[in-house]
Amino acid sequence: MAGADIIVRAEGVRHAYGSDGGVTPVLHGVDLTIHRGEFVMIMGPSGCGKTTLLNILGLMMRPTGGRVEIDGQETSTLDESGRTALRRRQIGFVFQRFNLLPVLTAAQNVALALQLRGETADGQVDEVLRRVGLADKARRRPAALSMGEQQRVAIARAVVGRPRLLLADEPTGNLDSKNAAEVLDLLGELDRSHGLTIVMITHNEHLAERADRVLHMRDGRFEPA
Amino acid sequence: MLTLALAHLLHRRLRTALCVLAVAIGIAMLVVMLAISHGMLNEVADRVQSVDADLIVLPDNENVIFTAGAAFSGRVKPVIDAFSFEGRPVVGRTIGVMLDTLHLGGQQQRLFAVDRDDMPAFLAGRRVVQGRLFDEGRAFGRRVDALRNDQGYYDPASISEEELLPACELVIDTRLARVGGYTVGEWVTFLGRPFRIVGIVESGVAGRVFCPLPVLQHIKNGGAPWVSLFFVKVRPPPPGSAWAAATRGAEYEEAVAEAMSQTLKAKVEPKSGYRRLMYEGFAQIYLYINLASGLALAVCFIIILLTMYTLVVERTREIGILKSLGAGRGQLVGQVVLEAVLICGVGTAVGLGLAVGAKFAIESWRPLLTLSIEPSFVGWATAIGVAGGGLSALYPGFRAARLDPVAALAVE
Repeated sequence: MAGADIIVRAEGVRHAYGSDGGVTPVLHGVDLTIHRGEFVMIMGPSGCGKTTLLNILGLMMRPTGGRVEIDGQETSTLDESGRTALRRRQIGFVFQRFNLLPVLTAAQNVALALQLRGETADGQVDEVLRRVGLADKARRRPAALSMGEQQRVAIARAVVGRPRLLLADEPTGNLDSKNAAEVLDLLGELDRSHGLTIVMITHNEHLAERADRVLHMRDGRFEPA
Repeated sequence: MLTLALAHLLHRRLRTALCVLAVAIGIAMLVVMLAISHGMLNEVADRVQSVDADLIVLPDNENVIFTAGAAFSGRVKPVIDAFSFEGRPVVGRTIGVMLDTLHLGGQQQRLFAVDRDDMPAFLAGRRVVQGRLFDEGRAFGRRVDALRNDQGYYDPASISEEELLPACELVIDTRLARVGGYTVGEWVTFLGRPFRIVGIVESGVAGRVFCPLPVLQHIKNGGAPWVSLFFVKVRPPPPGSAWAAATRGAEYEEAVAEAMSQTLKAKVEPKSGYRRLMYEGFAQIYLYINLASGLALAVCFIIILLTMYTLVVERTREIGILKSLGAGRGQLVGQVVLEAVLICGVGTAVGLGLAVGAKFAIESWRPLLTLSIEPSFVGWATAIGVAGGGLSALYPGFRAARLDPVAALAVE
C-alpha cells in the first residue's frame, strides 16, 4: 500500500506451550507484516495457532522465539508494565465471548477503557455508542442486550481510545448471520473511516471477501499465498 | 474505577452488608470500650478535680483508684499544715479524707468520709437540693474531739451506740438518688449499721456518697485519727515573686508538690495531675482493652482479606478482561484495595453510629456509667478501619495483578 506505515511486524515468531515435562510447539517461525489501515483475516482449522498468534500480537503473551514490533516499537525488550502500557494505548481487543463486565452498563463498559488510560469520558463514550447504533441503550447492562448488541458494545469499548490496532478473535463466532454481517459492516466502516488496522481471526470462509487480505494458517505456519 | 468498585459492591449486597457489619462490630467494640473506660475515668477525675484544693497527698506507691483504708496517721496532718516552701508557709488548708466503699444504686460506690467543716470545699458551690449536710453543728465531731488525748486517740467505748446511731448519716448526689430512687430520711445499711440519708447534693462533687469522718474513724479505726489521703489548699505565691506570673501557676503547684513529697515520703501530686494518675492506675485495664479490641479488629480484617481473596478468585475472568484492556498491576491492586476501603469506610461509619447508639443504651441501662466518645476516637477508628481494610486487601490485590491474562480469560 503506497506510503502506508507498518503497524505490525512479526519475524520468526515461535511459541510452544508446556514446561520441562513436555513442550508442545504451536507456532513455527511466523512472519507477518501488516500496514496501517489494512483489514487482515487469519483463517485456519482449530489448533493451528491463530489465537496464540493474536495473543502474541496483542502483547498478552510473550513468544518463545522471534520478534514482534507494534507501531515501530520492538516489544521483546519491554517489561510487563511496558507491554501493558503499549497494549492500553495502541491495541483494542474484541473477543468471541464479548467479555463485557456484567455489573456495568454499556456506557460504563465503554468508559472503562478510557478510565484505564487515565482519561475522562467527556463525550467520547456517547459518540462511539452512537456510531455503533446503541446510543439509546447506553444505560442497559449486558444481560439486557442481545448478543449482537453486546458485541457492538465490545467493539465500542475496543475503539473508544482510538487504538492503532484492533485484534478480533472470532468476533462473529457467537452471532447469527444477520448480526455477524452487522458486526463486520461496523468493523469495515471503522477500518475505512479511521484508518484502523484490523486483524481478525475467523473460521468462516464466507467472510473472506470483507478483508483486504486473507492469510491461511496451518500447523503454526502461514500457507504460501 | 470507583464506578466498577461500587457496581461490584452493590451487585452482591448481602455479602457487602455482612462485610460492612463485621467491620462495624469491630469498630463499635473498640470505640465503646474506650468510651466506657475514658468516660468513667474522666468523670471521676472531673469530680475529684472539683474539690477546692490544689494538691493530693497519697501514700507512696499507692494506686489512686484502689486506695482504701487509712494509711496516714494523725501525726501527718500537722506536718502538712506546717510545711514551708522556699522559707514560707504555703499550706492554707489540709483536708483529711477516709475512703471506703458501699453498695448503693446497684453497684459499689466510693464513699468519702469528710469532716463536716470541710464539706464546703467538696461542694465547691454546689447546692444541697434536699435535706441538709450530715453532723449538723458538727455535734459528733465535737463530742469525739473532747475525748481525744494529746496524740489524738480516745477509748471508743466512751461513745455509746445511742450516741453513735444518730451520727450515722449519709449525703448522696442527685445522680445516685435518681438511679437508686433514694430519698431523704431513707435508711441504708453500711458496715452492718443503719445509716440515714439526710441530704442530697447536686452531682459533680468528688464522691457520690459522703459520711462524717469521725463516724467512719470511730467504726473502722476505733477512733484513731487515720485517713486515706489529704487534699491540700496551697496559698498563692507571694506577689512580685517569680512564681506569681500568671503562666506559672501550675509550675508553682508542681514545685510545692515535689518538695512536700520529699518531706512526707509520700506521693504528692497537683490536683491537675489527678487525671494522669487515674490513667496510670488503669494502665493494665487499658492494656486489656487494647488487646481485646485489637483482636476483634484483627478478626474483622481477616474477614475482609478472605472476602477479597474470594472475590479475586471469582473474578478471575474479569481480571483477564481488565488486563486485555490494558489494566496495569497497580491499577488491579488499587481496584481490589479500593473495594476493601469502601467496605471498611462504610463499616467504620456504621460502627461509629453503633457506638453512639450503644452509648445511649448503656447510659440508659446504667445511669451511673458515663461513656465519653472523644473526637480522637473517631479519628483513630477511621484511620484503623480504612488502613486496616486497605492492608487486608493487598495480598488478594497482588494475587490478582499476577494472574496470566490469557489463562484468566479462559476461565468460565
